[in-house]
Amino acid sequence: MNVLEASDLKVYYHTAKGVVRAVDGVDFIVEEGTSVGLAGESGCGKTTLGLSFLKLLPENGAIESGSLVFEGDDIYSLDEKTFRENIRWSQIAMIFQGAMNALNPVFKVEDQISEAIKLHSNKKKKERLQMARDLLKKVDIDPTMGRHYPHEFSGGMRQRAMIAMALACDPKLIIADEPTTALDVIVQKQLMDLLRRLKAEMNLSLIVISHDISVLAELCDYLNIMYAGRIVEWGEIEEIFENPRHHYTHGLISTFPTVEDEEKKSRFEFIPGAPPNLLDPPLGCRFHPRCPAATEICMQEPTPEMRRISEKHYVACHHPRGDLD
Amino acid sequence: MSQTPIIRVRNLRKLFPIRGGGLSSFLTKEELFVHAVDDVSFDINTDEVLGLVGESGCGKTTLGRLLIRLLEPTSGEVYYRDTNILSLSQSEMRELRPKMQIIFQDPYESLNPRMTVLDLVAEPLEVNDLIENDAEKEEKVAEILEQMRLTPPEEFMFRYPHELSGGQRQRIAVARALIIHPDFVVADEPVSMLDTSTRGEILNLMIELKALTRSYLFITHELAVARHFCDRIAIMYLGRIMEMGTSDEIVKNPSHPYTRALLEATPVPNPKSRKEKVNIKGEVISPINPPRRCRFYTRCLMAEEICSRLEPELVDIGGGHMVACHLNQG
Repeated sequence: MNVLEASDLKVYYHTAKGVVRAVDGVDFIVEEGTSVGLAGESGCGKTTLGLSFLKLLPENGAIESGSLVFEGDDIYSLDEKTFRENIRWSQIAMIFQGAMNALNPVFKVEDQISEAIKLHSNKKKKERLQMARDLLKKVDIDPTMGRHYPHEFSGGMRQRAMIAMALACDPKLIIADEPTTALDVIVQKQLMDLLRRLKAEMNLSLIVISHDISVLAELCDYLNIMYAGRIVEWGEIEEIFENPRHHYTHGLISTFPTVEDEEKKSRFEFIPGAPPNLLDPPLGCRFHPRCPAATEICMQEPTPEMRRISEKHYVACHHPRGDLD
Repeated sequence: MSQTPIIRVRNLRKLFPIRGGGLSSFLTKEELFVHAVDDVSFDINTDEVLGLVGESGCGKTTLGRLLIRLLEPTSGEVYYRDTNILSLSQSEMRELRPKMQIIFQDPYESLNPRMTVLDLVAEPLEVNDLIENDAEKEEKVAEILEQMRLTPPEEFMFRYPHELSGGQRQRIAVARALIIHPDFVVADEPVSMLDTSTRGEILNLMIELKALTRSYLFITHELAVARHFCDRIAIMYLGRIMEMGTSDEIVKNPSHPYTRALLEATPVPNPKSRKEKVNIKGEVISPINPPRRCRFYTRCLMAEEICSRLEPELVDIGGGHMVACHLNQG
């Protein structure tokens, strides 16, 4: 059973300079109880894609076309009021990037969580506060800390409070946008353990958005690789890391330094060039200007479609790695 | 290595006073200090890259700035070759400046948006009177831009920072530091703002252009980057160096419980090597007037009685591998 299914989703920003095609024909599925990673460089459209699942786009952005299905129901065509009342936060919640700034500094943490509960239930204040404290406990924060203000929390605790807030209405799916970025590694590790535990305990489904593939390797069952507004590879996480078929995926993995290497490297891998401007992406495969395997066909329209490697592995490339053509 | 080290640091300490503090501090009259760098000693050898690794707030940036006297220490000494740079007058220090440079973390903030690449890169030459005329300026800038793979240089020279990508900007920042061939460069998280896919290029260039400089202090919060970029690594925690050794020793034979926790927590891009829980408890304690005991005491799972009353010294446990831990002293 799929919790979320998006197909051929297009999300554009209308700017003074033109139309930015941040998400340009994306298929995305989340199976129930799984954790799905979304990786890519800054500006590839991954946050936009995450926000579009919640229909929380900035004013100049809009979902142009495609379909969005949540637990078998079309949520693409729901009007804002119905979406807000029935889906956003109660079914799909989000942990935003930068927990430092996402909490309101002038309200106590437990009041903020209680507020989130209030929007979606008619429970009494006392009951809500008790729920807020239970949620804090669930994310390993001493419930009495709820009476404190966000500035009295450490970075890791604030991020935990954000997770508690996302859990407030008992959602099915949580989208975590760079949940550990800007945190120190030890705090990051503890948060990853927490997310993994909550996912198992509450039968949550997760979408984890990150530029850091090592974080996704720790947390996810499936991985989507996004480049310039398109998903270029999707598959089971171990398969993707062991047998990346897209040259971009391979580049991302091999450029990542690891402490596990036996030998000190004398040179670092890198992907030459920079991601394209989404106002005017290159024709054909968008990765071709940076790709070591690009040929004539890669420079021509249409952009390669995802094709099947195996049941749980798809790639959008004319010359996938490992093929003998 | 029998040569004199490029940099020698002895008992360096930097305390930042905390002012204000309201009624309670008025009543107790206790003076409060953030112990950013607290009694640190080490050498950086000629042609060596020393990595300084630690979490945010551990004092690594402060230490980097002290080494080139962008900050005045509270006490201690910093030698550049045989010169105690803290004893130099302002004008003497200015003469020494070209030998010591710094690369900042954020290429979006460290480059003046109103200057062209040519002026930005040539600025250190002009400040230090190392060029005679415009022709020489362009020639030297073109040369280093080419070395930084910003080619053709004529195409980049007259651009402004906003016309460059993050990676290109950081290459400009590196070019600025290296154009005057310093002996010693403090690189403060030079790649942490960049996407991993483009970091490698900058790191490679920094290694290639080591011929232009001699030694780096490479400050980073990422052990994985330090492991590959640095010859030796120093692990810093709450103003103190906890462990120091070759990068091989540090990752393969970590001896301080904190180093081990850092290694355990560092994620690996391999879903098959997911790790167990980290062996650490609690959170970082406040750096304000920390008690005289092991700084890691409150988080250490192995702590013993002695750790609560005595601050361990950094001692050599063999082959230059130094550890500051009561439980690891042979």
